[in-house]
Amino acid sequence: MTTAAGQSLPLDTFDTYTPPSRLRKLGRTARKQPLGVFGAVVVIILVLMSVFASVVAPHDPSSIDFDSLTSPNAAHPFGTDDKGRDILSRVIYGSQTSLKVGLIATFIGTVGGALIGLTSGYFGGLFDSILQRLMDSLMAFPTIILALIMVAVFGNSISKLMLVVGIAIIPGVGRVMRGVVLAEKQSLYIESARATGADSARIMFRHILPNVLAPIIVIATSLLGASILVEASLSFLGLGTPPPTPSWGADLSGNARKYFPYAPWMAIFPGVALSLVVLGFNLLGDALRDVLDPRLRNR
Amino acid sequence: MRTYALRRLLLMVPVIIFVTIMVASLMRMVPGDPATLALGQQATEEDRQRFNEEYHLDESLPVQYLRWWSDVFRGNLGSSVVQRTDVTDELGERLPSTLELLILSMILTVIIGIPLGVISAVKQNSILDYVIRFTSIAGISVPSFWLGTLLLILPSIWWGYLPPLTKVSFFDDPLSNLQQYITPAFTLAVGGSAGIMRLTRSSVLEIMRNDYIRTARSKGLKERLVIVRHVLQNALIPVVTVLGLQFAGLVGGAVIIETIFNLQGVGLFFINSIFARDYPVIQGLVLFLTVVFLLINLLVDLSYGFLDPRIRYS
Repeated sequence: MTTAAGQSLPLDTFDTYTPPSRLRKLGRTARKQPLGVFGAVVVIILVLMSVFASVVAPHDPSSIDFDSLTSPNAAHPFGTDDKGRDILSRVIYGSQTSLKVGLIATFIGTVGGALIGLTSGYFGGLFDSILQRLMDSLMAFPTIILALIMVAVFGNSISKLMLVVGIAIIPGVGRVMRGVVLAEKQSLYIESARATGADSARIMFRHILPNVLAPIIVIATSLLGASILVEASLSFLGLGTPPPTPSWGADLSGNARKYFPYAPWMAIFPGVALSLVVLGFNLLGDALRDVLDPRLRNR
Repeated sequence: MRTYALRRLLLMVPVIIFVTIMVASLMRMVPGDPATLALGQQATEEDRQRFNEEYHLDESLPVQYLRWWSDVFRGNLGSSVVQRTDVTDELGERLPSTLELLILSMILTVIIGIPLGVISAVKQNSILDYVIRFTSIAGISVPSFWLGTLLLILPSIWWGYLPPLTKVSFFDDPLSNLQQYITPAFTLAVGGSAGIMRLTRSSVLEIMRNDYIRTARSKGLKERLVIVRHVLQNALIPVVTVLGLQFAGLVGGAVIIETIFNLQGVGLFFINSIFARDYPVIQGLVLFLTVVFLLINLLVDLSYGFLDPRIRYS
């Protein structure tokens, strides 16, 4: 072992080398991705806020009071709305709705899309063609229109909303997954797995799935932001989360717009919260993509 | 190319049939019947029966479905049970407004998104690049209904500015018509232009790594010419096709924007009929939208071939 200058390196240089600890690796990545860290912080705050909503919120989000439309003060840091409800508490409890719908819808969409992409890409042939035409016809619709049609049919309760938003994002995930699986299917390790006698299910779930997990995580993160937006948009239109459950989208519609000139805080705070959370998920998704899936970098 | 387009057009038929059957049968599963909605709770059983006969709602589902198709082929997309108007007439009245909104916001998307993307790529990793990239992520994240509300109300509070409230045709008074549409179009364009900016940036960066760009530079071509003539021409191919796809997405956004700005377009019509559970209208509109979206997708796919001669259709 010699260096360029011809000196030989002492062997123990290699012996003393210890790989950086996980914590340190994380720190190094974080320094390269300041925006991703910002996104992660926002997401963590969101999660804490919704889990400990009953502890953090100063008031009951639905309790009606004579103190209506008061501007932000010590008792009501974000002010109150036209019914005298505390806006800070509504923002805190609204995070529960956003997070719940976002998480479960993303879970449904990602699992459904991944299954479709996996089987469709793996088996190919007629099965793939039929499934892809079906996906194409769903993809033709913008997500919000697809969700609106389903809400028109199924109606809107929180659990139906999760399902509707989840189904609406399946085709997008399915298409990306199919592409990734098609590429992965050509790899040598798939051939060797098949040579050892592994059946299709085993190859799909034990061999392909772990290797396409990175893009799945990346897609899921940005879909979280997107599905929170869809829930908010539906609620804003009056076709989403039904009252009295606090929802940022619903709190931004109707009276928040009517009273805007006199009580701008009604529309400002839920809007800022919603924008920040979606921004957080998008930044986190971008950072995760750079870290987990270098092939997609700069895209 | 022509056979490809023809085959794709034929493939649209099963999709359209599938979508309409789905919508038609799902609509009937929903609680609440149109007769009660149209006539009110006080209507007698007799009134309701007459109503159902008049709108052929007493027939079996397959018969109703086929009757609906035979109407569609005669240019009638169905008639509203609640408003008692024809869907086709309503569409004719509302389409110009929606189209103007979409076209204006498409123009804004292009003139905001593409230049910012090119600047961001050419000045990669500069402060300007970071600012543009952060702004674009923020643009994707801000909900359009909130941004629209702010853009509508803040100018009126700060400067007492209000856009003209009654609808003016572009051909009568282009200036006040534009005043009316520019804010909604901009709101609609924000998300799209952010996406276009990100795509343009990555596409330009990818092209700039090619050998022929180095050749162009080494033969002494000015940087501006390298960018305009060699990079942009190739980098914009994927951008143009995504723009086509975004047009479909804009239709979805228009539903929200038209609600906020109270523009009497197709989107607002759609929302209102969902609220009224006006099934014939929803069914007609879904058919219309399906055909529009499928045609847009087809045009986008075909445009690949025009823009990039290397792509052949089979």
